[in-house]
Amino acid sequence: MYDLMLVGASHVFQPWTLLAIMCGVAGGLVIGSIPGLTSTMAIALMVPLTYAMDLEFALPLLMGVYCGAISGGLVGAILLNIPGTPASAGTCLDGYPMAAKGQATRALALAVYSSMIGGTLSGLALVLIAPLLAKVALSFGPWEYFALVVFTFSCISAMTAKGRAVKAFMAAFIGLALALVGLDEASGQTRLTFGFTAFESGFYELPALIGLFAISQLLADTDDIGQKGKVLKIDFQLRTFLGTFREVMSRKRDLLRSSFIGVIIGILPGVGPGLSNIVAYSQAKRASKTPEKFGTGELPESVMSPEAANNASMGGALIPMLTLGIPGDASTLMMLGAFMLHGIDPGPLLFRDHGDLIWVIFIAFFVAFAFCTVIYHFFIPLTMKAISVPRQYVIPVLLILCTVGCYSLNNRMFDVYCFLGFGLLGYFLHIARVPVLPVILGLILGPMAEEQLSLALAFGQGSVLPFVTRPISGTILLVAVLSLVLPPLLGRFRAKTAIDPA
Amino acid sequence: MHAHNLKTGAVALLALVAAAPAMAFPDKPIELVVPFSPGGGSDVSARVFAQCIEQHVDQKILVKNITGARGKIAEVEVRDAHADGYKLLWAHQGMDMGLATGRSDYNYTAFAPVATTVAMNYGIFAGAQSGIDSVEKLKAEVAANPGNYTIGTALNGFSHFAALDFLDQAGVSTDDVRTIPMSGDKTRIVAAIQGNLTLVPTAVGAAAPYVDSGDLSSVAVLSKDRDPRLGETLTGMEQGVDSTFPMYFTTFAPKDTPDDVVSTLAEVWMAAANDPDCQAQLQKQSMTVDAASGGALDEVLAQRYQRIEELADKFNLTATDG
Repeated sequence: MYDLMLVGASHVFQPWTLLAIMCGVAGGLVIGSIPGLTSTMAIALMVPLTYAMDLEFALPLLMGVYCGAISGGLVGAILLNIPGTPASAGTCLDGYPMAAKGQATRALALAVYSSMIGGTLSGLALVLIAPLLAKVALSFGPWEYFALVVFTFSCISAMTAKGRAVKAFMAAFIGLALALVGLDEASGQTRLTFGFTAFESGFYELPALIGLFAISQLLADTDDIGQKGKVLKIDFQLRTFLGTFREVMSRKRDLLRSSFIGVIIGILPGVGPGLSNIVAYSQAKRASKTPEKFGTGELPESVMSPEAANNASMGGALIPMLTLGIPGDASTLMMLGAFMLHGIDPGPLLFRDHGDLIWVIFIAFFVAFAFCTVIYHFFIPLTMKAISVPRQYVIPVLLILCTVGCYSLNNRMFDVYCFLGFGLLGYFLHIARVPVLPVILGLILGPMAEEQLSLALAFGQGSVLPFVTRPISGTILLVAVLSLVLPPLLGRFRAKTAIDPA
Repeated sequence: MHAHNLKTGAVALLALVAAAPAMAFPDKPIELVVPFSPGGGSDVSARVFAQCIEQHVDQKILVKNITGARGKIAEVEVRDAHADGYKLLWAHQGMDMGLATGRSDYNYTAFAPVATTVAMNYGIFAGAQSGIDSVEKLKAEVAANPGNYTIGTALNGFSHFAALDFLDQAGVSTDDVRTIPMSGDKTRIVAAIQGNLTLVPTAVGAAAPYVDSGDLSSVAVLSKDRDPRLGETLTGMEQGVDSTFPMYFTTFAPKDTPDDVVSTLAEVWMAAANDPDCQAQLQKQSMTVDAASGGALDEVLAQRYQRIEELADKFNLTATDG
């Protein structure tokens, strides 16, 4: 293991690779800090650029973008009261009030340092858990994988806002239906091509993903053209910034709790930083002796908790992505696409056969966080510029970049048309307030579910019993069923007990 | 004034276009379209060979991946491309299997073949737990427990035909070995290592690391000579099975490409293929050279297609879409 680690380190600690991580982090920070541009978008823009690069170079760069983009959201959240990414929604709640009181530097420092600590802790979790899980996953047969996909779909109900579960499932089925188009590689049958050869390849994940997320987001952003967000003026002092580190360290318990929540939520498929920051915030409030002060911008832990959690989710989300090939959230979905583009199939075999690459990823993850923190010390004024760039300049540039990127992924115009088509679909879904992520999960996991199900049936000579009798797949399926059945039952039970005493 | 300028411009341009064919081919980079994704056997063979070609011609060879539908997207792209010899296809027999099984409506005859050069050896491997490590053992086990063993193949794809060719020649009935539809070398190898699958037809290069680590055992390599990567493994021939089924990579130009262009290309391709440096490079990727062009190539392609059609008819692979 240590020799692989050293090989990985020798790949990462090259001047050009380090520079690539730094550029990735800086680019990610800028994109992530612009409200409305998510980390998914940042990775979407970078993936086509890495296409021609060597793996040892491309992976660190992508890790840099990933880390930078997720933590970039905090600047907009604190200074603008608009989260740059959904991952920073919880940061707005106390970060902005604190900044409004003239303590902007303190708020930023709290957020930056807790991001760093949350990220580092999750990196440790990644290094410790991922290889173990990969070892277990080596014995996963089609039964276990199918159960995992079922579990992921059951998580769709958990990750959507209250009352939208039905819409989320609808979106998932749209994705599943779209996934049917094309040639089934295993059986050699073509489906739903309507006689067009171009359709036989099916829809590729990346153009679909970039279209669904980027176009709908950018079109929605055009609504904001002309509106000027109020950017708080800040008098940035490096000494105050550095001094806040001690304040952060005095709240170890909050840091640990939030990071733990972040890692666990990150590991769950389909949910990620977007949820964990809110959960960590509410848990911090519940644990606080002075919950009434939450929302006023006085307490340090109210800013720290969501930021520690959202960065902690990143390492967590990478665990199932690397070990099982099942993405944790939209950004890891994009990373998954990027990996496959470079000819790497994430899964247990990746750990066995490409241990050095795994360590490149691990080490790049830590290095990216280190750079991220360093960059924040000196470039806060720069990120403030980034968040106030008028929207009408940003949108067209990004659209063009996305289009060029989609063409270069497979060198054909059909993918660009797919990208535009999926973009329209995404925009309509956005208008109808239907979440987009389940569509993509359906599109990516649908073929996987089908393949594994048919394999499981073929191996078992048509018997469905092994799904239940194999211990791991049985357990996963049970959890999936419980996660669907329990919440409504509990809700009913609570409603009853609430009424009875009255 | 403007119109006049435009006219002279147009005339000059026309003259240029007219003069172009007079210049020696090739006068710009040549695109080599690989129908499969980066990192796979097709891609690696094309990239290594493209470097060899560049030693023998004064132009760049740009390898371009267009994936999808088992290569059909790329095949159609080159088939319908401008027939000037600047866009070529790097295909294997999978294209012919498309027609033989009714999945597509064209085969190699829709193109002007340039040369067949690189060959990648294919083999039949088994999960180590199955204890099957030779053709003899396989036959004995299958005869003892018919229906107990499985073979994973992408239906109507290369692995399916290679498996059928082997089983057919070995005299093992496909009724006794259950066929499991599964695509991708890796998926099949993992399933065999886990013990869910018995037999894996796959490229020697893909299986070799697992044979080394003792997770897979090799049954037979489907080539004339032993594969240098797995020198210990017997070929099918050595075990009395007349099955040779390497993946042959052939370069195709669009049908109407001028003859002189095709022959210029063929010369360069053959020179590269016979270059010892090039062969050494290919051998590092466990690939060999089996080169032919011109009349010999037409014969070879016809032979290969004939065997594919035979297998498709014999095992009734044409009626899948029914």
